[in-house]
Amino acid sequence: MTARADAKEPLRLRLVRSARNGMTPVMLLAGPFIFLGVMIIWPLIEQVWISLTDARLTNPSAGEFVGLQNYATALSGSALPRVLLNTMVYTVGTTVIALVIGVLAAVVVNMKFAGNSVVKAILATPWAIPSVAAALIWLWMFSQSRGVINRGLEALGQDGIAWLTSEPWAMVAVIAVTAWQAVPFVMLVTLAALKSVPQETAEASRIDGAPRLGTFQWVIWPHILPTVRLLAILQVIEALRKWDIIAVLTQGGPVNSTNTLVIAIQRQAFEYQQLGMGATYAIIGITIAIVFTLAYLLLERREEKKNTR
Amino acid sequence: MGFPTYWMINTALSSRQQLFTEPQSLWLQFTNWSELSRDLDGVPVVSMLTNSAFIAIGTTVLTILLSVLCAYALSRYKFHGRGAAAFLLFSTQMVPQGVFLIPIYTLFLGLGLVNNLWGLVLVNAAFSLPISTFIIKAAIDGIPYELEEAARVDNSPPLSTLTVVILPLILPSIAAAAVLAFFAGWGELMYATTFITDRAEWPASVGLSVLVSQPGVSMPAVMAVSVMFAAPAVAFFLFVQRHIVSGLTAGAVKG
Amino acid sequence: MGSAREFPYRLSAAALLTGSLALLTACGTGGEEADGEGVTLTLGNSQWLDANRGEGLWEAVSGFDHASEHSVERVEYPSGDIATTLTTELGAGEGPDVMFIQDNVFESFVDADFLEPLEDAVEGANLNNTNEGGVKDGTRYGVAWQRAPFALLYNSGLLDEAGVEVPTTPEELIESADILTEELGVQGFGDPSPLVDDGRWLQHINIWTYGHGGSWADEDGNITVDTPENIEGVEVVKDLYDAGIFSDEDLHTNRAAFAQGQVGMVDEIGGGALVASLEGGMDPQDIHVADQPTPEPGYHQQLYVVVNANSPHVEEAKEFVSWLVTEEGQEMLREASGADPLATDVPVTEEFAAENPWAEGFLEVGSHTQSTLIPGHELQTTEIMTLIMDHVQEVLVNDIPAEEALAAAQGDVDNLVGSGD
Repeated sequence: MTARADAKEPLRLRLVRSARNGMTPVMLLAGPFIFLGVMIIWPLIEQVWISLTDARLTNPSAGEFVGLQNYATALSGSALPRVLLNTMVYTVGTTVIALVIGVLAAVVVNMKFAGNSVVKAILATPWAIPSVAAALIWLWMFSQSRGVINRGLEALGQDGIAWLTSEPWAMVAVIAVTAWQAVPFVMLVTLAALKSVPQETAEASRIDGAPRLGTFQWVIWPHILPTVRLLAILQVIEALRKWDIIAVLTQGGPVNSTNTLVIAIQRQAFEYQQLGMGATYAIIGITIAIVFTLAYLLLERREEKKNTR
Repeated sequence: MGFPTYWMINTALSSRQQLFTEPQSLWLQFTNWSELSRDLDGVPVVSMLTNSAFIAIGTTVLTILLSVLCAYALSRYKFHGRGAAAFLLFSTQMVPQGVFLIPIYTLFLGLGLVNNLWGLVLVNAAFSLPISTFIIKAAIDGIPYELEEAARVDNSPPLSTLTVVILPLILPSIAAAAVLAFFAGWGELMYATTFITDRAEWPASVGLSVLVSQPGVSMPAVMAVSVMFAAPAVAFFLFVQRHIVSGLTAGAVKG
Repeated sequence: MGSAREFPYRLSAAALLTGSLALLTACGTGGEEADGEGVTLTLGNSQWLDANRGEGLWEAVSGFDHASEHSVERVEYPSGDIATTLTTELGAGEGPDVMFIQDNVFESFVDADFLEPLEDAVEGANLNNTNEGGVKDGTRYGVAWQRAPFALLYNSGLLDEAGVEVPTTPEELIESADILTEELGVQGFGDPSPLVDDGRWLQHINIWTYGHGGSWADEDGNITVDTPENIEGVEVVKDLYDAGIFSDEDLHTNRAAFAQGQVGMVDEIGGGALVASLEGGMDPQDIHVADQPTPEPGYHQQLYVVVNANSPHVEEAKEFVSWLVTEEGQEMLREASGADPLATDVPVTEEFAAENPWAEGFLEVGSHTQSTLIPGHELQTTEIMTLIMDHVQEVLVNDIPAEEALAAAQGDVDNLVGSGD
């Protein structure tokens, strides 16, 4: 870097200054935020209002104000705890499984062996298959009497399993399918992180006589940890919103064992036509999600401070 | 991991009789084309795929345009409400999309965007925007200020700094965000089935859900459409995947 | 009517949209206004998409093109989404001129004032009792399009081969189903398990509860979930479930399997029989229909024809309904409807009856099946039935006694209707 007298002042400061007297960030953000404001943020605020009314699907904006009655009903009933528990099991289950298998797959694919790129392509494919199509083929594979999975089990001398109609298998099944779709994404991103591990560092530690596992634990893992954390938050977000796979495979059953928050909202709003109650479920869900977001942002900020110090 | 994909193709190539009266063959068969083409008669496969492509590409372009602006502002400027703006952005990502179905429908009615593929472009872009911003902001965060500083000595406006200096450096991340947006648009079902009632405008997701809800559904036909629906996306993905991987980590792996 | 449902705040939000957005909207929906007297009526139905009979049904209603100066245009909805999509459209003052909708959707549309009264449109028509549900508080809002009664459909070829009789009691049903499976390796009884498909079983349970004389509310709307009749019906479901005769597959797969001659007996509607008859997987002469193996009749699904009160062509839409219930309209519809009971007593053609021995059976069964809507709580039927099915599933999976489960369900439903209205 050449030292210039007029460039002494750090750019960050100058930008801050230009932000103060100019309109730049506002200009940059205006387009996206007006767009989001109309499409999402305003409807979101509207949801808060709707959750305080008895609006039905047939009269979305003409519901009568009922105060916190919907919240009282939802929080006192027996359905919500089950739904929240299901949502947690589903979210944690898919995230953990997708991360573990995805990272392992990345480590394997990162090794040099013949056919490496073919294996990678096959492993990557599920992510690109649209969820609805993916759910449909799994529906057929899970079929108790004609499904290929139970055929395999029977060939091994095991009894077939009622995958989609018994507890806890239905939850296992929806988690498996969701994770199947998420693994490739985790794998590819982790792979990229692995490629960026400085070769010298890894080799140096190996020369030092560190065992392979040790190299992974002390050298590689810390390097890819930020990536894995990013993937975790992306996966949690995805799982909280995932709708089509459960809707196709189990519709929330049996005995509500796969009834997650998204399915419950859909049921309230469209099957029962109780928009007010649906909005109430949504607001409760959003509140929980926001707590997670806040936690993540705080964590990130603390990390940032540590790095800049 | 690859088996379900294979089984999808296998099922598509089976006859209905084979599926129900005998164990499904483990090998691919190529003798049932006539039954399959009869079952797919009247399913507008080509226009379905074209419409999906239109939605996916439109979503991608709009998402990237807006999220680059957003990400740059959030990454490079300190201003009042920056935290709030970032927070607002990310919390919208947590909301189940079904919640917005009715408000957006009524909004689109007034704008003539119902039964219109542009409407779906807007919807999908709105849902993809936050995550895309998230990824691109992380990438910009990782670029040293000094680089920009060098370009700014001639007092060029910030937008040109963005296009000349920043964009080339974050291309992989843009590719990554683009792929996410593309697939969100390509596969979206809930909004498509509510907003599109004109057969000529059906994307593939709607066509598939129509086939599935037939009385006496034809499993091979459903799987055949699934394969056709998945194939372009898979091809596209395999084509760009080598570019995107570095992009997604650019922000997360600082240094 | 429309003015009560405006969305002023959304319009103001819309005004915020930037110019670039406005540009995008330039290619909006095209307005159609027929010159001269004739208008184009839009007809919204999910059945237009049915592979087997969609075209036939559309041809039938297209007869109106020739019978009047107007023309008709179809609007197609995937069957899984039609209720939500139409409700969304009508809630915003849009939607097709004429619609063909399920009875539960009909109830919610009447409640929301979406529909045009049809008295004068059907004056003088020879309407039968399938139209009774179309009258609400003394005003007719709907005319029967098709009724789809559930009856016991069976493959006589398989039953003969296995040497079993058509069952008339649940015990015989279990016995016959077991023999069919043991002797021939086919699915004896093709009804999906109560754990497979929540949505369908909300109605399907009525085969067994109605079948034993039960109901979910009396004529005055008092909830009657825990009555001995219902308990008996649920105990029967439990027996069938424990006997393992339900199918593990969903409705669509079972229907396809029946059509391939792989299912002995199944509770089906005429549409399912028609699929089997047309698929070519079995001899249509082997398809027969019998009463449910219960003392009392079961239930039906019902579709109504209705007119959108917000339609710009209300009068013309009513003309369409008038034409539909004339002899000409009904005969054209009959040809495409298989054996479903229609708004008037129009018999199936001799030719069709000869080819399809099951056809007249459905007409007969349909004359005494019951609606699934709960009297006095029509709008909450789905919600009430979900609560009940939650408890029924507890009976099946966790061996809770039926009596206990329905008592709990009664409590839940009482709470719901107490708070909901």
